Amino acid sequence: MVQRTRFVGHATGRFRCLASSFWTQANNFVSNLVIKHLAIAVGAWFLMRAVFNIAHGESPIASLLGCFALLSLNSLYALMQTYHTAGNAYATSDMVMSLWQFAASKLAPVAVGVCVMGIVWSVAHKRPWLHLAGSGFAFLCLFGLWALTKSYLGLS
Amino acid sequence: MNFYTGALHAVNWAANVICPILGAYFLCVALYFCGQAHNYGQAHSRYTHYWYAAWGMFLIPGLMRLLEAFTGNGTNASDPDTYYLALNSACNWLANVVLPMNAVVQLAKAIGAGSGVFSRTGHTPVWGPTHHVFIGLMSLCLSGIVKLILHFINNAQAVG
Repeated sequence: MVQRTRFVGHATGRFRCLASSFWTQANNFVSNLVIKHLAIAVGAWFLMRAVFNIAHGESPIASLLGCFALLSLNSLYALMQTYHTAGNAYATSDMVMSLWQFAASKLAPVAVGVCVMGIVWSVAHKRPWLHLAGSGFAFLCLFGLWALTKSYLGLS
Repeated sequence: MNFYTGALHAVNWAANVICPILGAYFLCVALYFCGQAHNYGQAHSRYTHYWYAAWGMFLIPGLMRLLEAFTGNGTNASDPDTYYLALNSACNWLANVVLPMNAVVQLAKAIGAGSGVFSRTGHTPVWGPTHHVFIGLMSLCLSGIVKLILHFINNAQAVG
């Protein structure tokens, strides 16, 4: 409703009615068609793409992440709404920083699990694995590395 | 559905369900190739990576906890020294836990090499046991050797 009020703004008369109707239709289109139906269908195709990636000997991780993102579009939207601070001139940069913190604190430890599996898989196939061990540590130390990088540049 | 929960469940499924099965698969492969190597007169060590991978597949949750322990379990996560301390902890663990275990294995190998039980022909290499004993001693003394080298470096004086 807040967005609707913003979109319609101070319009009056017939234009206000048209704008309100357009907003309602667009909202229905996004929430009912795109999020509830289309995103799930495209996510299913991404899952099939992941299987084809494996068949081609490629990594399926990118396709799987795309599939997860499409299936969780609704909650990602809600997450971004919680990060959005209305009325703040720096709302965009604040949201980007909040998303970085979410990725560093929640998703990076999950990525460590993938790194560990990659290490064992590489050992099995006699491939180099030290870069996976190093990145595994880095995923767990992202906040520390961020503080270290800032200290290099003299930032607090 | 939540993105974080979905990714977490996917990784948990891979680590707790798929990886143990792959571990059993690698054990089968290792055993098969070990037999093949024996038939064709090749060294067994050419296929030991399958053994290591099999144990690694069974130990993936433990390895994950190990990496977390090295990084301090998230305590004081914003410390700039976190990455350095994690690598330092890993190095200490390798030098003071893994290498002494390797020393025991090397001593067992020295006994095996000296007795000739692992030799297909019964021929025992002259330097075989010595090689393993030397590696075992070096594994046990690595921390001391590193400290000795550092002592020499720190107390070095110009010649002449």
